[in-house]
Amino acid sequence: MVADSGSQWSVEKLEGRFVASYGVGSDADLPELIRFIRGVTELARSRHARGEEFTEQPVIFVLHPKEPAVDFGARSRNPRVPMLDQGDSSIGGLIWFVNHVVNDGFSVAQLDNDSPATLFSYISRDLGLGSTAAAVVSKMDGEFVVRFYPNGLDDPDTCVRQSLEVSRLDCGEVLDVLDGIWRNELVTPLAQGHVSSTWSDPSKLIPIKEAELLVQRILKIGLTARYLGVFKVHQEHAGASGRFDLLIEQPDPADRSRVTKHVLLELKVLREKRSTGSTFPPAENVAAIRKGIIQAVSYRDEWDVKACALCVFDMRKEVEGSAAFDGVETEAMHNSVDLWIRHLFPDSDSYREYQYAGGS
Amino acid sequence: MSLLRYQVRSLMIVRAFERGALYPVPLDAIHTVSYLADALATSWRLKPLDNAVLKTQWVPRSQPLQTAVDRLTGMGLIRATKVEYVVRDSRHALQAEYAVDLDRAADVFAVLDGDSEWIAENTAIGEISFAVTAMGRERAPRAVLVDASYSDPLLDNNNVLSLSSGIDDEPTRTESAGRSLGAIAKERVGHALTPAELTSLYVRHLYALSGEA
Repeated sequence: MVADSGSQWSVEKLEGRFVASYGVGSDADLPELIRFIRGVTELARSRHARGEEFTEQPVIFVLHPKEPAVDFGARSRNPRVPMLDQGDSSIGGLIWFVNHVVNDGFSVAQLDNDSPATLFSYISRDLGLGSTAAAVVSKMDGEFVVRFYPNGLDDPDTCVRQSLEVSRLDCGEVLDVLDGIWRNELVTPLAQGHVSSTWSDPSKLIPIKEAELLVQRILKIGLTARYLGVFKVHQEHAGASGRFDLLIEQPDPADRSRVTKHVLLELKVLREKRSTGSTFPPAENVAAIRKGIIQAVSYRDEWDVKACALCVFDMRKEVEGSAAFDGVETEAMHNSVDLWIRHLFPDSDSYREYQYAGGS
Repeated sequence: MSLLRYQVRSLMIVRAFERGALYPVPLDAIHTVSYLADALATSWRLKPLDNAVLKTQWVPRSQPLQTAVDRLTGMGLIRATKVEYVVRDSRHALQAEYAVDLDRAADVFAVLDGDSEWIAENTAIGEISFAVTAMGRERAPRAVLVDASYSDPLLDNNNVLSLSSGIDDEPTRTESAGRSLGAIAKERVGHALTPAELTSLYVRHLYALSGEA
């Protein structure tokens, strides 16, 4: 507590601030587009928790914090809203122009005769913002959903939809998402092309020194993007039993300090070589798997998480698959640890051969 | 501290506000972010640019930072608008709003964004600027005035205020508030706050206090 602070800096005041605002800034390491959709999702869930009703008439958010150089015509332009993401202001019936952290923005009113089609057309044609990232919050088929258009409303086919009412998440579902991320972002150096690679020299099977950290980051971005911010992904937090790799939790939108911790992921990278090029002893890979199970159990219990999984990324030459878990499967099952392994191929040829031989 | 570091910080601040949308950015908001970057330097593991400021009833103006802003304006990397002078403590103080010329500054930003030496500073300045953006144009420049250290009732105006503690020193009031928030996080959600989370919570508290002031 701040000495001689009176009431302004008391623990009670700071706890109040924590309850109202915990989680803001937790996405600082994510790309701007992901932060934008996460911010929209959090704001919509917060308003919903406060009793704001959403209908089939969409509330539209455009990632464009500056004033478009146009006349809004019959639509009234409302003042900027400070601390927009606190959820103190109603958001319905409006078109929002916000920054990527969705903590500042202004809105223009929708008209009584606006339909979703006229609103999309207005943003695209009249405002010229059809290729600007946008998010739409509405009821669809009775469900409260957010739709994310990363390429803007002019590209309606590139759209991700996520229910905002979901409150359950199990390991199997998360591992299915990991499959998609592995296939699209990690499986070969080519797939990893647009990010830093886990490979230092794939032709010699040499990984980078921080391969596991890079995989963590890619998974964090991928999971956050898949769930559009409904679930929050934490990376590398320290506790008494060590640092967990990834934790997926969900804050209560009515009290952000109350969180449900759904799934904990412990990651391991198996390798043939060290980053220096020297041979990595096979026994250390075996030991890493057993250690991973113990870590997953310890962190799950310490952090009071509902479920956990050990996720292994295998950078060795031979595809061992789930045989890598021989000898530890019973132990994992006994401790309710899901096991998941995928191969990181050093080149596209070996991946194609693996697929040709029947690998999925 | 070299003028270059102040120039880099000034450019980072103005660009962050361009992305955050409190833009063009008022001069006091630039000094506010720089002050908070130094006051929260421990959390971000940064070396503060200014170790101390003179407490007044106004937003503290770092003279080297102001020199950097003036130089950048002269170089055409940032543009000043709404330039005027106001009287503060019987002296004329500059007021203006600043925008970055992204084309002219492109080469500078290309170096800064690709140089690992500046990553930590760039991240911290960005997150602090985004947090201050949320306060809005009216209240953002008032953030410093309610900062835990700057508003210390035991420190009168025209006294020097230390912005960060040494290893063996007592923490500043701002650092103590940060530690309190960290302890609350540990207790409530079981894990520590990232620097960006702590900054957001802290600035939101300043926002609330600035409304009460």
